[in-house]
Amino acid sequence: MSGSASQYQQLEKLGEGTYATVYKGRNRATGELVALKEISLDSEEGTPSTAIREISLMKELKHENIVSLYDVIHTENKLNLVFEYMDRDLKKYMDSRGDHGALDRNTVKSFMYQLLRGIAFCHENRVLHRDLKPQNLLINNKGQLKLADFGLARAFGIPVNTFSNEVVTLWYRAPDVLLGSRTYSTSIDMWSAGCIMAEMYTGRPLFPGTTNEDELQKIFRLLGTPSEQTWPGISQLPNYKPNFPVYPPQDLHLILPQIERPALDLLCLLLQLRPENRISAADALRHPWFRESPAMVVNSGGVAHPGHGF
Amino acid sequence: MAANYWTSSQFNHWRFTRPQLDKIRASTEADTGFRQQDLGDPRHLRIFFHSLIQALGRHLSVRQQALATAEVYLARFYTRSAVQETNPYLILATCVYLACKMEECPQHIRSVVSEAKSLWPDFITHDPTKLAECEFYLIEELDSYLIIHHPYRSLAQLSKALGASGNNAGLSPDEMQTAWSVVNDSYVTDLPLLYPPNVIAMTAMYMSVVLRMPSAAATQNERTRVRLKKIVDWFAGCGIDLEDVVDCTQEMISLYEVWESYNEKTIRDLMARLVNKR
Repeated sequence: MSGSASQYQQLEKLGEGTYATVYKGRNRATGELVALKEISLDSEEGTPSTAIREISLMKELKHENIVSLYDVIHTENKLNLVFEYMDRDLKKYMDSRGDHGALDRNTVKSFMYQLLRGIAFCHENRVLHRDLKPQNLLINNKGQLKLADFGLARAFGIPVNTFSNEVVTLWYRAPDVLLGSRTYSTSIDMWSAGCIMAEMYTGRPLFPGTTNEDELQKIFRLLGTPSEQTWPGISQLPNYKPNFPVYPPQDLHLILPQIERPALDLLCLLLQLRPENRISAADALRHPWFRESPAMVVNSGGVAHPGHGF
Repeated sequence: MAANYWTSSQFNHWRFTRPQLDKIRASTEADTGFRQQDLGDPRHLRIFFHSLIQALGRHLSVRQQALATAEVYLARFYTRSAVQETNPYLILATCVYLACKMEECPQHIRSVVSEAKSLWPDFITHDPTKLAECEFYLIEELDSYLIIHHPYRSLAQLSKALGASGNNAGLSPDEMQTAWSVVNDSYVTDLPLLYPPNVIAMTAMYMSVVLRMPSAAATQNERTRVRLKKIVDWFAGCGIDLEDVVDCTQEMISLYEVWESYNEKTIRDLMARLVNKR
């Protein structure tokens, strides 16, 4: 049952998105803090599709690494989504807690584990997030990380080849999507996870491209320019150009000197150019990196032990 | 979502038993003075709504699964509101509009309004804000649970598994077509509110074999009987409650009987009186 808007006291504005404004709020009865996402209706479109996607998916996806949707409140001409309150997003967390944005390795491991658990849960439920980036990962004071902002997510039901390729913020966008592939699936979220992992180590985005082409260039410069030999079928993709500058692959260790060996190994499995070669979220959770010193992964927030199933 | 019906909101929040549905309907009807006997059978109204949704869908070239979603929205909606308190033409056009957004085959609000208007000029206005407002209200009445699990996927999976079970029991293309139609027709009934999609899919498969049973040669009948036995045994092995399949089959057969006495004009006139009275 929907509650009423008066149940919540609206506090300061937290942010403004493309289709919604987010406020901090307080449940008047319990004092509990919440995030209120206020969506205005458009007479030309009705309730925005992004809002409908987000609401319908969040009503089904209940997991400790996915932000909870408590309630949907209909007022006269607005829709208010009541989410659990999270203190900040990963971007702000890195800016405030990290060393020039860089996080220590224990925190990176804990956050990566939680990120992968959230992604694995989505994928098990046939949902692609499609827009993973530090701004969409929320962190609370218990050190828990949760996936948020499912406005671009979709259930990957039957027609996988009709996806628009206008998804995923450029910097975290997989090379197959950049090359115009429209048959992508869970692997696009895994690429984003790899980019986020590297960014947590360094404090800087791994591939801060300005355009589609520039983004591809930056990726190829680090990971090597793919060819028909390394990626059969690549030349058939719409944005493929036979005259891409040819770069040899670099050693990732050079740009991430601080990374430990097993972590680097996982990172390489995430940052595979060819989508078929990218590790799945379920397999990533079983990676040896998470098996060593698992105690480090556990934060005060009751985050489950890795390697003990979930 | 699509993967797991058993943890879905459809399973947890939008599943009824027959007595529950009867009780809900009795209470909405008690509030309104709506004369059931004018309808002949309440399912005539459902057949009417079904035909309206299909007609609008055809005009907009909407694919079947989105229309099926629209029909479930409509059925759910009318567990919350009485028909005579609403404009069913606007409600069902809104169900189609919302279902198209959900099933990722969005239609422009103006095309939905103009097609609906051309089909039912007396009941739909040109103003798209009416439909937008109605959508808002519909989402609220549905408690924002919008993801629907349909039997189509189960039907494809089950018939593949049956075909692979190696006892020559697989469905022919004609039978598959019949099964698909039975699933389409199941949206006229309460079955989507009562049973999981796999039970409805099983029912459709079962009926496709029974309904197409050749009446000619006795040997053929014998062969069909043997095959039917194999199929039923296979169903039992799948862990699906056969009593549920029997119940669904009866519901569908009874629907087809009721359909025989359906007269569209009677219902259309009744709707006109109801909607204009408001």
